[in-house]
Amino acid sequence: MSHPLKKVAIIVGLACIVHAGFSAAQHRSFVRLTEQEFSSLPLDIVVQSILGLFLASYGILMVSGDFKNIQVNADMKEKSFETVGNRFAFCTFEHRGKALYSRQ
Amino acid sequence: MAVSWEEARDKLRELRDSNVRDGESVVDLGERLVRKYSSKLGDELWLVCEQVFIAALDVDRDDVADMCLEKLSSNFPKSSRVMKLQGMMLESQGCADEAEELYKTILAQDPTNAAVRKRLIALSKWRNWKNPGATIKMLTEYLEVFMADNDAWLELADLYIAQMDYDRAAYCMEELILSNSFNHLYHQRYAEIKYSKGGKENKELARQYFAQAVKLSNNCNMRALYGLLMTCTSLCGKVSQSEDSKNKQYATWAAKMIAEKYNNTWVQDKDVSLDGKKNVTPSKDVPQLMASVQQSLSLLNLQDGVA
Repeated sequence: MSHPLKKVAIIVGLACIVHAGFSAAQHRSFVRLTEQEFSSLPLDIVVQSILGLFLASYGILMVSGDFKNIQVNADMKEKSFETVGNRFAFCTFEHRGKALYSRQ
Repeated sequence: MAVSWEEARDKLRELRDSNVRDGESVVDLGERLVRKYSSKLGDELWLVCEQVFIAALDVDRDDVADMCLEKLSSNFPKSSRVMKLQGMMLESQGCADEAEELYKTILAQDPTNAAVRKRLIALSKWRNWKNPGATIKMLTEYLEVFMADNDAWLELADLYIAQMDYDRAAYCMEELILSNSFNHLYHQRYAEIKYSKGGKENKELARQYFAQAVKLSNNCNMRALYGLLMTCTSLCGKVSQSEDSKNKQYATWAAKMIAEKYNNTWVQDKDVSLDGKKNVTPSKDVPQLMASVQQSLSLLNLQDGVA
């Protein structure tokens, strides 16, 4: 799925949840006005909120980038001391660079 | 240049994250990016500027360095990070005293600025390169305050190694292993220091740590594999009979793993060239490397160990 579609999934999912919330509030006020006993929310609101939840979480998972490996040393495996031993904070500039790359 | 700006940006990002000090390619990729595409980079521009600036100092390209510094200082006029870069510029021009003065004025305003303190240490490393004692003193004082700085511990270990003070270097690596026990490179480094120290106990310890490094890296760390082979071969004949056979076993295993890796690179490269795609030259030193492995095994009369 392309990137914009994933964003649409988030928006639709969130809208579903918000809409379900309003419907639930409305249902409560309807129940109160008609002086009925409140037992539970109607099935369509429950289904809608659950669907919205899944849709929104799917969209967010897909948009926020790739998963990282759960193992601690997963991204260390390919590294060698040649790069990890480079410490830019302590680098000095008095080295062969001047001789190698001087343009005279 | 055929590289698009997106590719250049991604490549620079990769180089930045993997800590490679390759000034030439960074300047090649980054100069055009900073000159022409600075509006497209967004906030990443400043990171790229800093990266290209340091790379330009490395390869003596003052024009590129000036350009990056100008961009940065016009956007962040009072930033101590940019002032630190100015100090680095002075360092690269050989003006150590001016650089030191600049760093000290930054520190007077903000005594907790770790990056600038590290520059002062680097400056002392450059000035006293013949006698690292003064630098070591500064670095230990720094580490008393910033104990969680892994780079500083590594640097201190290197300075001690330069003085052949292996015990203290080993202590630094122990600190690092404590702070990050899943990093196979720290185990490998520690083992190398112990191996350099020599002696039976140290080498046995080195063998353990090399083995741990190999295990943590899923048999990927070639240097640790070689280290394991070397320690086991050098331990042979110096320990008891049962230990000896174990060492031979470990050495054979390490040699097998190394040989397997060399064979794999050989085959992979050959396949690529057969397909008529990019002609990757197979690493020519494979036979030589195999010979060196065979040689160290032949010291143990175990040639048949290598498949």
